[in-house]
Amino acid sequence: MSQTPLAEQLVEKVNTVSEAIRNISEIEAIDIATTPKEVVWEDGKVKLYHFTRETPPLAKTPVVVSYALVNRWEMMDLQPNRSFIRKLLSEGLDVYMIDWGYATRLDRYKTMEDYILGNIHDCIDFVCQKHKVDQINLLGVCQGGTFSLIYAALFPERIKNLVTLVTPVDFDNDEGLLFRWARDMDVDAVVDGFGGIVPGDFLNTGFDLLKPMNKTRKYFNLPQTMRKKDQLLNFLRMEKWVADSPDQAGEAYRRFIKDMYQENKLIKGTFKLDGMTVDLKKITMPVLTIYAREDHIVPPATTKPINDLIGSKDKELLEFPGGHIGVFVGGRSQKLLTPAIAQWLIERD
Amino acid sequence: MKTQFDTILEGQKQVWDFWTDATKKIGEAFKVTEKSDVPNEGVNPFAEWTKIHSKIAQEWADLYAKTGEKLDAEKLRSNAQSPINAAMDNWTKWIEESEEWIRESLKTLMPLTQQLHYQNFTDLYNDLYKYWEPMRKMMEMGIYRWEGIDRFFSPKAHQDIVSKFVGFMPPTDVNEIIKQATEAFENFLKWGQKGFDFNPDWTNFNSFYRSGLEVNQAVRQGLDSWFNIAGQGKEVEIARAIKDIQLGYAAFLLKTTELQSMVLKAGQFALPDTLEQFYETFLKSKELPNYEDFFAKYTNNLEGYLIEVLHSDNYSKLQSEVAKTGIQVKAKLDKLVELLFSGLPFLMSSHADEIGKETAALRKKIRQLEARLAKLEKPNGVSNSASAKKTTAKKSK
Repeated sequence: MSQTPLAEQLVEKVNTVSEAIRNISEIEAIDIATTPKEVVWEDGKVKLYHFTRETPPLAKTPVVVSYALVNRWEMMDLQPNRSFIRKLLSEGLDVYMIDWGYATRLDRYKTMEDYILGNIHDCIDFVCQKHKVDQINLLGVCQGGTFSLIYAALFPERIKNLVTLVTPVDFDNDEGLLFRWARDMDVDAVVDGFGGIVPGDFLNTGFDLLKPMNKTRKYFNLPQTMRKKDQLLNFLRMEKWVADSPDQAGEAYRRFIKDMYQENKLIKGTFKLDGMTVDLKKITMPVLTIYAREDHIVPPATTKPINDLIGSKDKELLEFPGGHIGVFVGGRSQKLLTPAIAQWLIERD
Repeated sequence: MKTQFDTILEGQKQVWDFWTDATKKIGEAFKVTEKSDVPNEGVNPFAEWTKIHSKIAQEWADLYAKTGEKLDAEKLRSNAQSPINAAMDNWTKWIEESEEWIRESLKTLMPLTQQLHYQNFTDLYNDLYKYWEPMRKMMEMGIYRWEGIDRFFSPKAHQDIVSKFVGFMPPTDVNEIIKQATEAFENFLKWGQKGFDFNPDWTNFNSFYRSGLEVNQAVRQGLDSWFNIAGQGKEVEIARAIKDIQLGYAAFLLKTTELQSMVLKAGQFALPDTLEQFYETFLKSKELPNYEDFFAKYTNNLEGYLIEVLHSDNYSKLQSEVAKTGIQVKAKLDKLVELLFSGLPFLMSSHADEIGKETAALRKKIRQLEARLAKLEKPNGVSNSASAKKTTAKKSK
């Protein structure tokens, strides 16, 4: 407990306020995803970005990143000094990012087939042609990782190496609140009631409740955060990213909730895409599965089974000592995780 | 008779008054109203000034207090304290005004949804602080059961606080809300049946509306039939839709109340626990926490109880029902709007859905054709380029 004399408390208070005023006054704009890139392919709202490299890559095989539909990929490039993307580039990889865009009412009938057999397939086609290769490295993040597993099982010949990052595969889990709540959700009522487009704010309300006091804590700590300009900037960047939650195409959302969260079809081997059964044993290329030890959004128990379900001989489970967001923006991600991913891919190039 | 001591005090008081005035002026000089007001060197000079003079103030006060033990202690202390209080008031005023500037400036740097969350937190922090003094007393005196707490901190206040923590809008008196909602729906029904008619009462406070009323009435007289927005048959459908929404909304309110009550009931143990924990510490160390430490501990305790209820089957099912009833009300409202505007040349959501369906079917067809083409091309050694859509888009940073 604080027993600082009144005078010291007062001075501390004035210092806190003074520094906050100075730091806030120096901030003009909040920029995220500042790593230079260009749009090399697009189809409707979906774009494929190619990040600019200053030097030739160390690995010939390019990496295509498939992020989740929920939230935005910019989490992987939130701040310049802790950018997951920049680190992959500096470690010698050639990186592409699929940007899903922002779904509108016109996308209400867009299906998982459209995303996986359409957009992901087309992006991979493009990259293969551009680099004159037959295969690429696929890095799937969270739900994007589940999509990547499905794609790799259906088209193993297109994937040289597969990396899944905090990716759920076994949805029969009570530890994660999201998994618990999704099982009771009347997803038809939700999708149809919202007119086929599930608002991003609806999803954010659920995410906020997973750790109900996190919002309170971050604002409670704000006076200290404001004393350092770089901390304040990072706080504001995160606020910008959190609020940028795209709406979800209804049919894809409906299917994902029903077939994954409610019926756990993927792990049972009964999930079909456009009539094709997805058999995870058909995944035979090298696979690196990364999970975050303190992940409350995708608990480790939902990710670890990947290692047992796939047919690959060269496979590895990597535990990251942090949470779901920490894998992208934490200092340990820069020091431990991204170099490990890059090294793993370069060794198998 | 004026003593030598009185003369000393008067002199000191003049110095104090001068110093208080100087503090006020310096605080004014560093008051920030716009970003452009912030001096290039920042506001560190004021911080430095504060540091030096607060030490002087404290030493002065200590000197008076010690001297007062030997002389007229009460007179001395009261005289010594009031200049310090005046200076403190100036500092406090500067701090409060600066903190207000910080809050408002930060909000301009945040997206709208986060501004609302931040404002909610600020309200929560300030609202709970209103009960800080009684809670300090409770910790000191060992009052940590609700029978004692509720003399200082009413259940209604507790409900408001916990609701702010979780982000609920408190249901308050549900019967009253349902009654008000029913009245609103009945009025809306009458209004819809009359067509778009400016309420004459509106014209009393805005000349724009007055003009609008005159124009509206003139056009209506000339083109009366055009203002029957809903056709004859649709009026029944609209009335039915409104009644349906009314019932749905009442159901939503009741379920929301049930859900919020479940959470509030679970959260009620957090405050007594927090008070008891600090009371036990006080017994050992004779130290009470400051408000920040109390707030942090209360937050952690509350989260523990909330997570327990959030993990329960009852909560999960009820949450799903609340979401369903609320979303269904929204869907019915959307449908009502379509009914109301069905005679007008506006593109409605249902039209967009038809386009979306066609697009989805076309996408599927194209995929099938691309797959067949790929199979045909492969034996000829032709590269599979059907799906490549290059772009000439410029580099983006």
